[in-house]
Amino acid sequence: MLEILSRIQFAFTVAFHFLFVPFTIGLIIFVLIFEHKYFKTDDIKYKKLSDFFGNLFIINYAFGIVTGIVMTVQFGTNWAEYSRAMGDVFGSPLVIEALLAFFLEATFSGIWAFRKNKISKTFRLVTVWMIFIGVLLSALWIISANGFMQNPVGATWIAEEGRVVFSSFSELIFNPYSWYMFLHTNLASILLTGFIVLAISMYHIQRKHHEDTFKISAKIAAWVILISAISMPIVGYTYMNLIAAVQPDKLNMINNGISNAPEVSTALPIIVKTAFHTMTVLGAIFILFGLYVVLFYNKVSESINLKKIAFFMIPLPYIAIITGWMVTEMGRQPWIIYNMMKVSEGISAVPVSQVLFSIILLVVFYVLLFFMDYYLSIKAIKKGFEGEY
Amino acid sequence: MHELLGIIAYGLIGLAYFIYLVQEIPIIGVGILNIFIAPTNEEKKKLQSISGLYSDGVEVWLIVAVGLTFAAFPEAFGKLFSGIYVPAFLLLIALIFRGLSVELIFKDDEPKWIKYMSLAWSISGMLLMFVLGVFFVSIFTGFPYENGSMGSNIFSIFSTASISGGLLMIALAFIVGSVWIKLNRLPELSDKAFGLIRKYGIIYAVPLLFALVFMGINNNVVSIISGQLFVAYPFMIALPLASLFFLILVSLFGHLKKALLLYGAYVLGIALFFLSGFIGTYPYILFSSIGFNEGITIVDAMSSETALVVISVVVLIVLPVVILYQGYKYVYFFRKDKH
Repeated sequence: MLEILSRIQFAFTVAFHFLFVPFTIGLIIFVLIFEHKYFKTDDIKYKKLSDFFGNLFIINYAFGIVTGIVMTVQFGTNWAEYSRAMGDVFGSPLVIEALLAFFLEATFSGIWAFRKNKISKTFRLVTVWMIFIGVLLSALWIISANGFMQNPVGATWIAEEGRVVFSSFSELIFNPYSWYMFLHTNLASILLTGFIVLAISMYHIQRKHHEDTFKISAKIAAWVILISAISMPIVGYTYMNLIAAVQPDKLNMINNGISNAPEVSTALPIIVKTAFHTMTVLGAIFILFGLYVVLFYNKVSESINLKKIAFFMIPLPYIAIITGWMVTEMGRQPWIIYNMMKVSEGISAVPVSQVLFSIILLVVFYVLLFFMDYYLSIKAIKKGFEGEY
Repeated sequence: MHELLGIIAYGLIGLAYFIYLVQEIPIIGVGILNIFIAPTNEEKKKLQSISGLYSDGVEVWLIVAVGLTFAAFPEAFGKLFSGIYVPAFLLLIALIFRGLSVELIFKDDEPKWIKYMSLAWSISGMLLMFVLGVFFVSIFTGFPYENGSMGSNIFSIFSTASISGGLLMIALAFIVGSVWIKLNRLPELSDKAFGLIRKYGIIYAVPLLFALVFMGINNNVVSIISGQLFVAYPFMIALPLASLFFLILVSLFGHLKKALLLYGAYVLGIALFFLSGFIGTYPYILFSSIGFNEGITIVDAMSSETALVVISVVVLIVLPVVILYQGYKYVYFFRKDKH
């Protein structure tokens, strides 16, 4: 019971957190592009775009940060045994990450949120660069920990102590599994945001609200979708080769829907297989969609129906991301650290009633947070440039 | 070498908690005060601007402290947070609403939204201060930790001392928040804030609450002043006494409306409080209120030497850079906002 509840709570909190993460990773890249253009050309259109999407970034970033802190503390509250075992490998990258990335993004996002209209053009650009670097790097820690859980290199398992101890820090940091995940996740985030930016831009073009300006962002978004969608299978193919070498059982689940690992139900590999194929089919659709929008851009920006399609596409990259993570994490079962430690061995010994309490608490508040974010984001999107210009 | 690195990590955790709290109290205070002194949107915006500018950057210090505990003392990290499960989630809820409200109050111009968000800003601030006070005082009084596990009653970390600690933090937030408003040159709002904290006697509560905390910490056989270092170097008792002295000065300067002096006394008071606490609980990373031998020591819980080397090197290089650019941010915007 305790294990199931702990799993449910983790799945729920991480999935909720990940609604905001990919969107903000992608958004800050768009804001950086606009801010660069504004810096170089002094064209007010780019400033408008930067402020508009920057505002959307701040809203979603706020939700991403607070739900991220929950994840950090949750390792201690619900996964104490896992934390004890993983201290070396998980703890030190967390500290490094907080120092290098979190401070950068947090310090400068404060400036962006509250002083962006009171600072010089150069300072604005520096601020966005710093947030961008911080945001990009902040995925590195969690991914390096996850990469270790998939492919444990750089540390050895001390059986009698039940924990891992560093053998080589550089091996841990340069774990190829982590870097593939890092690349794959960031590309997916950029792709997702491309879809959202495209849909928002099309919405305003349709309303004839600052059409010329939103045509710029629509075009950039179309290219972003195409480039990231084409890059995905290229990265994915080599990633699969690595999985074949280090996690043959996961590959077996993906290809054949069966698993030889202990304690794995028969349904799980089938879910993994289905999730994988859903993801790849969606990947193909994204490439075709990107190609179509780039090639027939004028047609798309003038047809009401095609513009609507851009809007209805938004859930698809989310589904692709979720199914991708399902393959990664379900395909790792029953291990929390591959071939070293099982998920069931990682949980905290806390009373079931307390875990139930926290799940209820989190569900109630997260539902509220979801509606708050939805309400604010939709309102900000609909508002367009009104108010500020 | 290994042990020395463990001790350094222990000191760094104390330092990170101190840097976090000393910055957090004033900006949380501004948030708490908003519903009392800033009825109009224009006034609320002014408060939001001097609080929100720094809030995210400050919060990372808490993550650093928690992360250092995780990295350097993984066993203590797990035992501690799973042992204070329910308060830990209350802390998280407070952090969520504090973080969101300050950023989002004016992302919508509906009066209802603004009303509820400013209420959330204030209440989450009070809850955060209270839980943090309980948490820090519990670190120093010790947790009910015995035979390798926490006496896991959800209320077990609430004692007279820790509750007084929570109230102390709230009182300090009111006071130092008022000072922060004054230092940011918002005279009308700071007059209202000072009026409030004097009228309701909040400024006079500080030394009293601190005395309660300190008596609570030491009313047991297991107390920080009977800890290893205090016993070996009895003159160190001057540290907590000096802390009390500076918190008395906080009351005095609050009475006299001397903002800068008050702020200085507050920083020193908190610094000495943390110093006393961390010296007193040494060599325990998880101090047990049940018996000295029940606690988890630095040496027991520390991670491998390689991990500690990596952490120390990175912290020693990067921390000064972070302090530099965060410090510069304060200086830059204090100067800029002046014009």
